[in-house]
Amino acid sequence: MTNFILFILDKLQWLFRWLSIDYRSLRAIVEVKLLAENRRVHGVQRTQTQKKELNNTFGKSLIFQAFFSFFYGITIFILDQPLYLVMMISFAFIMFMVAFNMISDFAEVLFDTSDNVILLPRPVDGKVIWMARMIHIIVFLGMLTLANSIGSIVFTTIKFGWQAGLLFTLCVALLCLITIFLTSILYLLLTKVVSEEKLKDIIGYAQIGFSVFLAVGYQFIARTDKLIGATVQNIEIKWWHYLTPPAWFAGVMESLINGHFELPYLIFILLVLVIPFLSLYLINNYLSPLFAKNLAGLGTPEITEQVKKTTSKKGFLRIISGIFTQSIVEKSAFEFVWNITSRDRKFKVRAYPIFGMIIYFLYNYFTEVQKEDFNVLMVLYYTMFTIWIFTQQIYLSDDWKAAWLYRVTPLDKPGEIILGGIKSILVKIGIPVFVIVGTVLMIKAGLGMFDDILFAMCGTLFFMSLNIMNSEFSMPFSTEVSGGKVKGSQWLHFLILFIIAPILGFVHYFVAKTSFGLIALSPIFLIIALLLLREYRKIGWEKIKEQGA
Amino acid sequence: MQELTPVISIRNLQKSYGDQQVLKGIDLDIHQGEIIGYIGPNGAGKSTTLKILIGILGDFSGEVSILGYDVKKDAMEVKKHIGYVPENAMLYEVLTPMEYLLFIGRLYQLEDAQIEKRAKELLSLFGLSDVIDSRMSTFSKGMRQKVLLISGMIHNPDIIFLDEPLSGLDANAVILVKEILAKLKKAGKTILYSSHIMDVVEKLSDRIVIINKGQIVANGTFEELKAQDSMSSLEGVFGSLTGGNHENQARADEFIQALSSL
Repeated sequence: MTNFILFILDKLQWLFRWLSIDYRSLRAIVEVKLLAENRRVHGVQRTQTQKKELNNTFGKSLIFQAFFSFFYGITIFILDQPLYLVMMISFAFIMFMVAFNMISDFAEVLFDTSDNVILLPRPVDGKVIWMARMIHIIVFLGMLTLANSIGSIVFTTIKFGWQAGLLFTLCVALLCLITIFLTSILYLLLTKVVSEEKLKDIIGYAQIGFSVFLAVGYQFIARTDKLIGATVQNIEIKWWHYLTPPAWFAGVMESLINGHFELPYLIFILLVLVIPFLSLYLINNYLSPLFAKNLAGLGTPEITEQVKKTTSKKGFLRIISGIFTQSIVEKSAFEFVWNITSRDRKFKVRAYPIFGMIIYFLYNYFTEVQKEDFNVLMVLYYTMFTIWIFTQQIYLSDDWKAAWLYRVTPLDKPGEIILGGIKSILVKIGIPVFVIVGTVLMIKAGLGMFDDILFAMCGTLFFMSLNIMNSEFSMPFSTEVSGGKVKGSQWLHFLILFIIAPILGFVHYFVAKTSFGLIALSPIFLIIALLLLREYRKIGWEKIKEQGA
Repeated sequence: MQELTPVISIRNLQKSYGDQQVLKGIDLDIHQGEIIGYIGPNGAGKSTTLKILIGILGDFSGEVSILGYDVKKDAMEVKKHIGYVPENAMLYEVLTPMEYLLFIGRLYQLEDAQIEKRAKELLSLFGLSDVIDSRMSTFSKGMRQKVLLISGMIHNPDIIFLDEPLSGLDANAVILVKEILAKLKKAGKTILYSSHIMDVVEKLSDRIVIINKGQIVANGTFEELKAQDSMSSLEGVFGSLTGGNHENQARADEFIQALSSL
């Protein structure tokens, strides 16, 4: 695949000459980048064991995504609306996917400073480095987009003919370019305005937002059945359509397939043809020199930045950790996990989107008519499950190599560290989440809800404490994010947990029918949970997974 | 008195990874108050020896005792009394130096007030008092190394193991660390460190131990080593013992030739 892309680049040499870019160095950089990319681990492959050398990882992940594209591509086939509207939905979806991938995966590529050491001392123009990154991004986002839209292409061809299919493919390619260019313009402008650290924070929060949006969005898309069988609407081009790229492409499709050549459609065609090249020109001449300048500055320490005084918070944390922990080591882990979870950007990006689904369930609860039993249980037990998943995140870290300190210090009960970490998450995340969810539930259903919430909280604690049955444990922030191996014995525990969660729900459902059952059963769960949690202290080194060493 | 019982005693230490034998029978005694430079070419087994000494690598054969504790059986006791600063070590960058040191100190069961006092003093001695509450992600390599050095000594250990302790430090910090090591020696601490910088080893060590291919090939003061091999510098001694001197000459010539070839 790398050779194929290099071949295409060779054919496009004139374009780079036009942009006055040194083609030889560009080609060299791109070749290495593509090689490296294909040996990196992608999304779904993260669960696989990593012993063997990875090859063609990207190709495999593409096939996987292409397979799934057929599932959502089928909307095109089912919707009985004018081409313009159907296309607008598809293009909006594809554009969203590109932007999402760009933000989640490629923001790092764009601002990766690791090759600075290699490239900056060489006689290479900053523009070339920038262009190499752009090509890298374009190639991989392009392939990804194509894989994601293959289903839509097939269904478009079936429904509207092969010309439409071909045009659709072309449009997807151009849409991908536009999205990449617009996103990078946004980035470059942001780098001008804010510092690197700030920017990474912004990207982090955008990622969280996107992931939540995606998780919730899928649920709503799953309900587009309301559109199916609705009356056929007329095409109505509103003013804001001129500002949204998906509408442009939908306009082009409508125009060329159904033979509309009125003014609005001509404007759309013009926009589609001009904008990609205009933005490429803009980036290359005005923004990329700026990028090169910023790049050299990235990665150098900015000590003057944020000398935040954390003393006031410190006191607060000390008090809390004192209340919930029993030994110095446990207290230490409690504060350690607390601090890192509030600072580590990557942790936040991994962990916080998990809460997105709670919003969906709460929304469901508020809109559905049969409010009482089932939806309440969904909300409460999904919350429980979320907190559990969240807790699992504290074992992963990009700084996992720093975990050498556990082995070096005289730590004879590693279980205390793990327990301290779990307590930290329960206090920091578990309690507030339950308070919020509980308040929302009680706003609608009244104080009568209280025993349900209490029971669910005790149930959650019980559920968490069951993890003591694991045969292997990890120290907090000691496991590599991409290499998370799941062993056979752990799968068994996952299974048990997946069964136990619904069982808790059932118990809740039936006990709730009695008048004081929930209130009576809660303390029992609570006591069992506390007893089990105490067992954590006894975990010895023999049960701790060896990391890397 | 103390001289009679070594604080570190290694007897016939052997260690293999799979069927590759990394350490082939090492015997070494180190006494209180000594500064030992432990050197050898890459892959000679330096880091492995250090890992065994600090009690994180248990499956070796032979006998290793530190302060009278068997490293295999009483690893916890050993760890309490030693400090260790690994080479190129990672630390949790999102924490501030104070938070990191507090975490480490607590693992050594120190009281919060004590850790904070020590950390504050030590950090300001290294010129880090301005950044005591800022995150280490913005730190330079030298600044991180300083924090790591402190983290290895904050519990006031009797024996300190250092792997390339001066890497990344600026000239002033290097002088400071050297002075600190000398003062630590005076206070009765024992220091074992490894380094590739021969000048430093030459000036700093009471005794130099050279290891090559899993075996000790030299053990003595700088003067002794020089006399033994009739060489004028440690570099020369190192080269002749680990088989580099003649070879290196020839290789350097070839290198220059290759550069100018067409």
